[in-house]
Amino acid sequence: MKLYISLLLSLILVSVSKDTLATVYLSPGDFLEEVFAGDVPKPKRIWIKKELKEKIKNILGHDLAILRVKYWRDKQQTVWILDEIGKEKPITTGLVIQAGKVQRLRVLEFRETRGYEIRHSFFTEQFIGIGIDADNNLDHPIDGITGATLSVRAMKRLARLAVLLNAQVTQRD
Amino acid sequence: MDAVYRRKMQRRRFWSTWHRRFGLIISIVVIAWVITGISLNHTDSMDLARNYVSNTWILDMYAIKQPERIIHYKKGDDWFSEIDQQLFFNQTRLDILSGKLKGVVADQAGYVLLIGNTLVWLTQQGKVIEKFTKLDGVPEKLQSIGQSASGEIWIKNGVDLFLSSHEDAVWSKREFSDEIRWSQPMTGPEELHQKVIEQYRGRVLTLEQLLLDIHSGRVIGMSGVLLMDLISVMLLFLAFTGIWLWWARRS
Repeated sequence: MKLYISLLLSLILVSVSKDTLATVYLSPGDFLEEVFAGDVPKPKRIWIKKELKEKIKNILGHDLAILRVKYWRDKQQTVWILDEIGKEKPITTGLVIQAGKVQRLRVLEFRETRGYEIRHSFFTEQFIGIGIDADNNLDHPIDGITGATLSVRAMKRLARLAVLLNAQVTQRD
Repeated sequence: MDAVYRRKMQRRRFWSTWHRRFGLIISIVVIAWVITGISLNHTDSMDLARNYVSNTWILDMYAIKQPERIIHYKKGDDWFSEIDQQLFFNQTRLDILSGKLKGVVADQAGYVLLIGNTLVWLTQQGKVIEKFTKLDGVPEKLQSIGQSASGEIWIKNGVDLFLSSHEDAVWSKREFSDEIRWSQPMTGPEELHQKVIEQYRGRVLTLEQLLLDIHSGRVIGMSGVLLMDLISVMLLFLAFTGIWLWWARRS
């Protein structure tokens, strides 16, 4: 009884404050090799300035954790390797954008305890051909996966982010 | 007839008494099961996996101790700390970063950290500008980061020296030409040291894990698990005796 009361009291006393090895499905280097068929260009970079920062915050619900984002580009496509937290740990994802649409989305490294079903092609292939509308929302719905809601949401956010960043760099370059 | 009826009533009283006793004994655990079970069913909406237990008594009970390796580097007025691959900038956790801190140098924008084999460029406020890895051409097996008197940033592995131009993401192999002061860890102030340890211990055990361990009995070790097994069997007993008593009363 004493133990039970102590545990209950302890639960009340726990304070709210806010890492594990990643499961690597494909290394970022191998992903780039695959996309560029072995001829990987030198990475380019985009600074996240004020206006873009706001748009990104609207998509992610938080600031991007870095101030300069690297990407790889050839004549047809831009490639982004981005991290976003699903539940508690970042999911590293590779995205290929062509003509403002997602051409490929691949989960590269997964660190969460649940939601790894998003790595399967039945889920990731839904993103092919999807872009964003004027409000930076995906222009087509994506079917979720039961029990992987937060990871699915993270992937949707990253797809929106990559298309937005692609638009920025294609305008600029 | 009376004797048969008396035996029947005695049997019913016996099972009824034990039904009540078992019910009372396991009620405390059932309450804990219900509270923890409902909470665990709503772990996402209650954000249990992102909330950490910082209560010292519970952390001690889990034997969560501080690691022996706590490293501090100082640059200007700013302190950079690493404890079990968790990184801190002036006591503030750098969530986006993890790994072994091997050195810190200053540049015009802020700082450059060597963490594992990754170079991390930070602002003076501790915001990450960019992380450089082998994808950017960072040399492998890096050991140290240092700075020449003129402010050039150098990195070295066991064999070669490289001049770092992280702004342009270029690392060129060079011969040693100037005196380089390699970044060295130092003893941090006791207050910083304790604060970092406190934050480390407060980021090990999630509320979700604690609830799961209370739910399964693991919170008090294997004996707790066996106790929960026993209580589960007692619950089964309650279910059977409950049905039997209801049926006997009906008939």
